Amino acid sequence: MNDNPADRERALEAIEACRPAHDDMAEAELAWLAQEVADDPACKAAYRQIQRLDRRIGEAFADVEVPRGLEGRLLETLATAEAQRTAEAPPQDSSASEPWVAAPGKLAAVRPVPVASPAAKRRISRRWAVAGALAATAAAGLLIAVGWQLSRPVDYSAADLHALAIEHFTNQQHEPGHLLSEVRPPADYPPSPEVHVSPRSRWRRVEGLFGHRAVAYDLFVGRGRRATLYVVRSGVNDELPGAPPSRPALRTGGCSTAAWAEGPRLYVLVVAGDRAAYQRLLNLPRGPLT
Amino acid sequence: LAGGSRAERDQNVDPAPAGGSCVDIRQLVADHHAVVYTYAYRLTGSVADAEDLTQQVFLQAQNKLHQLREPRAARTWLYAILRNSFRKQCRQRSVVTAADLELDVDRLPDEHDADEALDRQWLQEALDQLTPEHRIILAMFYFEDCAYREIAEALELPMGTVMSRLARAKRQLRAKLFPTQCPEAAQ
Repeated sequence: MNDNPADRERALEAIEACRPAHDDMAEAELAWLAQEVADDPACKAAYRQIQRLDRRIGEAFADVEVPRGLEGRLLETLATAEAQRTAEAPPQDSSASEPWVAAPGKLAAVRPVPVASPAAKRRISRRWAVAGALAATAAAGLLIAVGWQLSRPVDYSAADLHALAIEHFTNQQHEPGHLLSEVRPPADYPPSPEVHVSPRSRWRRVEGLFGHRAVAYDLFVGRGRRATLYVVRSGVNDELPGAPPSRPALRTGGCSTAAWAEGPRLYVLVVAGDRAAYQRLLNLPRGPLT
Repeated sequence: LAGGSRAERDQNVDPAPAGGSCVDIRQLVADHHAVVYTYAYRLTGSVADAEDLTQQVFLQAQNKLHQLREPRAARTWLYAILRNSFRKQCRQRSVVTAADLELDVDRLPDEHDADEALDRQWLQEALDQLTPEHRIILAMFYFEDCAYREIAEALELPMGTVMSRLARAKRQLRAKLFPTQCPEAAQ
């Protein structure tokens, strides 16, 4: 084996990581290791011994007796948990399905009921017809404008989005929003399934964030910490990933943030804290070894 | 050279359910409960803890089933949930002191013959003496059959760190299992 201790350790580490019949190493790395093994009988002996012991350990690793009835017990636990979850589901409040439109019941309560003679009714009908046509034209224009507003892409780079979101998060002053467990958020602005949103979180509407309407979910994270998930309906922004990245894209001013796009929606998560605080809010089954 | 990614190996082991991405949790339990339990047992070293951990894994899987976009990768996904749950559990428990990590040689049987099959309980007692981090990396190598690159990716560690950590963990395990046969003993 090579006399240089660093090279020797490197060769031994490579031998440990190398599994027979697997393409674990790059060609250049493999060629170097093969040369080391070929040149040194001690290295060759160590390689053979390690492979032999690895095989024995590997076989023993999988040799575990599975308890009887485990599958049944697991299914029972899952069924109980599912039943509990269904029973605890928050009540649906259809009036809150769109925060910018008043509930139909409230409109009906304040609308006047007309009482008039047949002639007056005809005049009123003609006036209503003209007014109705004008209103329909205006409404169509408004719908087109709103549709354009909702579907146009957010005209910011990913870096701008992160910076603006942190700025908004840091400077915002707002009333507490609706409790998620009590009032259902607007269907077009759902929270991302990739983010852990507790029923104790709150939601509120935000006007003009990135030039769009948005819903902000103030996440319940406990111990006085803060985190907000912003949801914006926008066109496709090719610059953004399709899921929350495992690490925040920007960390500044004690906040961590990242933006991503899911279908027609743009999500920006801002967390007061470091990378670990950010990662704790993700539902992804991954994380650093600590 | 053979091999391939873990997802590809999953494809060889676990046929995708007919019809695409819709995964039934009961099917997931039926297909994977034994391997998940085995993995959990090798990490925790106790039947009760392993069953609790297995239960946690499938409860989380049930809640996050929508995240499983590729049913063929179900086993890899369950293993990732298991590792994270185990690490979380370890963090919540009291810190293990260095003295606890010393091997109690009286509890281990005499060294086995080089070609004799390794006793499963003997392996477990040796594993129990290692740190949780080393147990995880060894389980990924020996049980999940991960390449060090895949370990690095899953644990979000640099490849160099994984190589040295894996080498250290393997040496420690061998030193406990085969004190006279391991290559380190000959040096």
